[in-house]
Amino acid sequence: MTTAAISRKALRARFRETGIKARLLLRNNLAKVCVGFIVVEAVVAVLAPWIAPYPDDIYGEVHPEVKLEAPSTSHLFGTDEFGRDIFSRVLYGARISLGAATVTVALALLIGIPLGALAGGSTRLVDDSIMRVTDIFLSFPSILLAIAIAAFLGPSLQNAIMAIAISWWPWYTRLLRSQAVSLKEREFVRSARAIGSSQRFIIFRHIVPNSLGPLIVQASLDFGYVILTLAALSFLGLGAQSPTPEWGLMVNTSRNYFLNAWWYITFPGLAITLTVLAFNILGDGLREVLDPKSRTY
Amino acid sequence: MDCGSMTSHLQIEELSVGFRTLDGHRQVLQLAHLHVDHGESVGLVGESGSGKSVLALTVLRLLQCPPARITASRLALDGRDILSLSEKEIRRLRGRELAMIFQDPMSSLNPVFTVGSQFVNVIRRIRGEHHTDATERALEFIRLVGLPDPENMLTKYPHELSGGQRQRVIIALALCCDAKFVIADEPTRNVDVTVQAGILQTIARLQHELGVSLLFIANNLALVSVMCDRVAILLAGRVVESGGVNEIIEDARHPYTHMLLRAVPTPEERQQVAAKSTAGRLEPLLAGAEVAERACPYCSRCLEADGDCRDEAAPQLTSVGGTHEVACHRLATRLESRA
Repeated sequence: MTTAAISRKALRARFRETGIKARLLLRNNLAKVCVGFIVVEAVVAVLAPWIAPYPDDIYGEVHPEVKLEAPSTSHLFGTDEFGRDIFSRVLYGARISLGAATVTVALALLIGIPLGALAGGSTRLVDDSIMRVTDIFLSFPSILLAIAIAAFLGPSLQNAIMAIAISWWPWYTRLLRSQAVSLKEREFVRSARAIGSSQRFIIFRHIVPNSLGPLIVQASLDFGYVILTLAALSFLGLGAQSPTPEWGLMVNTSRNYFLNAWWYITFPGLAITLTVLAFNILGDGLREVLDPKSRTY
Repeated sequence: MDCGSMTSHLQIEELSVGFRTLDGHRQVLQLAHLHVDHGESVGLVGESGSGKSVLALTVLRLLQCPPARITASRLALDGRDILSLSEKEIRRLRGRELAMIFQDPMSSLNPVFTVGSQFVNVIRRIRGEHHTDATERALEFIRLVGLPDPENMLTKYPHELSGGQRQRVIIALALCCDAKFVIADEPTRNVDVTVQAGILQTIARLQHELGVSLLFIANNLALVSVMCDRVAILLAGRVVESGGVNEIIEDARHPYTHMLLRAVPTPEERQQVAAKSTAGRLEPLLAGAEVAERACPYCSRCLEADGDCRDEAAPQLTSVGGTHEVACHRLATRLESRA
């Protein structure tokens, strides 16, 4: 066997491992439904401008002649106070929410992982200084901290994303630190040190890869929470600004009409609920698959 | 004996290792001298807690200081003072010249990477070789430790291997970068006896083929006697007896060594196990009795101990012929009674 063949075989072995985990996840029917929902939603998010029946309604277009119409075949989810198609706007909202959640979680991971690994793998002094800062962040209710930061930065979608990311990274730092602290006493990490690996190598080659399970679970749960928090910020006027078709913002503006137009608040609200629910259930499903202690096969 | 020669691969003199604890400083290792010559295999035997692993970690400088405190008049590998090296320099030494085989094969491999990728990473990092060369080298060492089907072995995850296979992989990993000094810390502790025999053979064979110096740590005198040229018996951080394997097995002078030798069960003794009260004591004979702080580490369990043993400072290692050394106050008395 040539070395190239060995590499290919090793790669296949890795895919096989991932494949086993994916199959295990999909064996769980509830998780299967949620994965399906999230995949469809992701596709919709990408294709929203092209599949929305009224792409012009997504932003500023106004059609006073059809305002606040009930759901019908021409407007599946009805129309809002400017006569814009709510279906088109909810579809486009998926793009904003999923995109924002991806960026936010990525930012939080980007800050949280290195800090957590550093805290867990370093000296007491470094550990203490990093963890006390995260403690300060965690001592605020996260939504309150996000509101404060968003208010300070000024209301806009980007600032809301920043605000949520800043209030979210301490969770990952904490998670990774606890992983690092327990992993660094494991024999393979000590072996790595005995064979001359640097601290950085140990962090990125041993500690982070072995913490991926809990990290993925946490990140998938956080996707839901971040979407919810973003909707909350927009609802409070600190996130996306009109006429952006953000779900939370749509729920906010619908408040004035929901006694007469139930569809206006229902569909964006449902979109938020279902998405958050789907990510929560997916996170639980992933936890079952990735946590070896609850693994059964 | 002559410990000042520059030819020893590892040379230890007046080494003392202690830890800062809540109850103050705790001394765990107090070695007068110990050396391992090039290509030699030295066994370190002692019960759990006697300081064997601490010694291994000290040589690799893997103990965190503080809380650990290491002082030595000499701790040298190939004449280079280990304690004065910078963190970067000692890291260069690990793997390249100094390697360690850990005792637990089940957890010594990273569970999320294939065996091959762990090999290639180590070889690339230490030897700066390309992926292809590194893979070739990994194959060579997997063959060397006697694992079947090396190509497939590289694509396996650690959980797909048995304990014995993993231990062989670990041995190959420790040796694959040409380290010439290897510390094996109870490498067969967690595998069954048949596998143990195979692994010990492999280590002994590689030691000769690759010309490695070996510091073999075990709590079983029988293992050491087949693996090593010389043996040092460690008790409570001190060497109580050291010498060639035959000297120790056939002419043990220290009461503790006697006890260790008698502790190896033989079939004839099966019926006598219950009655084996004089074979040696594991429980302190003088529980609660006054024993001077730095007295002989064995005196509270020793059947021959008298007042001096309890009151005087621990005995020094003294030669009883050739390289055979014993640390016991009663040595002279016993020699007289023999004569």
